[in-house]
Amino acid sequence: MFEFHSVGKVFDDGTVAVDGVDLRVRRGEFCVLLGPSGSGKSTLLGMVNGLITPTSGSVSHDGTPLVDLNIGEIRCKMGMIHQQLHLVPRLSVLGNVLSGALPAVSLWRSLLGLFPIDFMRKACNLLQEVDLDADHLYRRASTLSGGQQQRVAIARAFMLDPEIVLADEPVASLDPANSRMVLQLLKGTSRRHNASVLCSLHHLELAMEFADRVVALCKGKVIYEGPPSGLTRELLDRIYGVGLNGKSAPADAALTPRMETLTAVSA
Amino acid sequence: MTKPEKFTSRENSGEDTIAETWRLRQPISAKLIVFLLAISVLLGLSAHRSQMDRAFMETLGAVGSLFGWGESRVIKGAANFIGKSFPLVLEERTEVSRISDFDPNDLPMFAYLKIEETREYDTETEAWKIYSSQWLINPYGYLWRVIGKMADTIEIAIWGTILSVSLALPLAFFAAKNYSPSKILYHVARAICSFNRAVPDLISALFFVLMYGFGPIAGILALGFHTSGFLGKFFADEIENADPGPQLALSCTGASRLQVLRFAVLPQVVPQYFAYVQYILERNIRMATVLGIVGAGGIGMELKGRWDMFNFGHVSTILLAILLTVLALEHLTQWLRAKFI
Repeated sequence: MFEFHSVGKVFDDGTVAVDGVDLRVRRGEFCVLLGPSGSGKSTLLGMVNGLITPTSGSVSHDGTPLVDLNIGEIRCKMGMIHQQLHLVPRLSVLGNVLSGALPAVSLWRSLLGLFPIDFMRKACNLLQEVDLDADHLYRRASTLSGGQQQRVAIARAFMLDPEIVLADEPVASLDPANSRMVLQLLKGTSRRHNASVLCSLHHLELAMEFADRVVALCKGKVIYEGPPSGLTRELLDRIYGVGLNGKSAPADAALTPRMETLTAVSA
Repeated sequence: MTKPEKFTSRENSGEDTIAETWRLRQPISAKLIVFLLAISVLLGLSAHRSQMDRAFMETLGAVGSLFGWGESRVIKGAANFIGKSFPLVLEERTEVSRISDFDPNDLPMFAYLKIEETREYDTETEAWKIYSSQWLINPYGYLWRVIGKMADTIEIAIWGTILSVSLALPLAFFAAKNYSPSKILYHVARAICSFNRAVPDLISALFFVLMYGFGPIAGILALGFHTSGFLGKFFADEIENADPGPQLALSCTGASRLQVLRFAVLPQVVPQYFAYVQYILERNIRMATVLGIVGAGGIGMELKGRWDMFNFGHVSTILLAILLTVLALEHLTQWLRAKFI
């Protein structure tokens, strides 16, 4: 599976996004990257995908560094779910799901939009798994609600039986009920297909509820790695930077009561 | 008169001090006045060069003569044309003696025969000679001819548009910065687009007539090349401006660049492409009616021929046909667009 070996990333403008991260994603686990905005979650995910190259250390797949592998081949082994509902708005739901299988279809077939019948069946099965039915098949993606769109994105990510699904803030633009549903479907689907999920979240409750393992990041460094129950009040304070010298920024004030209930639950 | 209390209080409280410290600009500055003066002097000079003064005087005279005040060249010219234009000529006349194998029992539909006498003064015998000739008159013959020519014109426009689109699609691929295979190809494609736009189709039609002879080929090529410059640029700009999100999502799954273009870009740009092609088709139909004047086929050739022979009755039939066609097609394309997009 995917491993990070003391990975670091310094952007051109000098920002240190990720600083010496060691991490191993295990087969079939639901691993949550937890941290506030700017803590390096998306950068880590981008490194697995090859969108971002680390400036120090390396990411490897089954022991081989990604730089030595064909990026196209490695991308076939992973699905990706984005924060901003990156479906093609004017394409049908079926078309969007099928587009997840593009690397496995010959160029001419794909340019003509003639997908093999096996892929069509698979797309239908996946849509059923994420609770969408036959009525949705030929509707334009733009006519679906946010939650439905994200479920289509899940189906798309699983088209090529990925080893790992990378989810970059998959529920950031959804309401709480839809967030919970989408994450449930994501977890269930990954279980059935024996795929790992590396998912970045900034919602504590959701991380506590769904994660098999939490990797908490703060300013590019891993400050906690383990089961969600091990997250303590002190750790959360460190992650979100509240309670520092007894002062908390006004924006964080809203967060504090939630964290109190959380720590109560986990204790 | 007493000022309103509000006003006086405000004036007293702070306005004087603000006026001292804040610099307010003049709404009309000296610079602006000089600029406007310079512009009007230049326009005045140019107006004389392009005879705008004469146009004004002649139009004034024309309006005057309409109210019975003097005579006007403009009105005379217009009356001359209008007088000769009506009635519209719809019939086609052929002298029977010029038709080979003429069979009076087998006339075309609606056609009839008419005997006409023409007088001619013979200078030798100093007497009028009377010729009698038989004419085959087809009452809607010319109308059919014009309709046929109009169909030719529309076909030229359609094929010109097809040529334009098939040139523009590959051009757009190379001229879109984010998909062009290399920087050199990008600049070459952009240059081809600008060049095609820069050469007016009426002028390229002249050259194509020299190359391919009179007829529709020259018109189609001229329209196709000229408008591919527009479409290539519009299509490429549309690709460049497409939402990058879906493209990123698809390339993350490992899809190739062509596949991303097909599945993430094409669905986004299709409605705009239709709008552009619709506009270009309309424009080509208008232009194709004119292209015939330089010999590139279509109704323009007929128009030019009739105009040169001073057959203004025929000319007005043609003009009416052009007007009606352009109006009808504009409505048709609007309707199609509303229905399918």
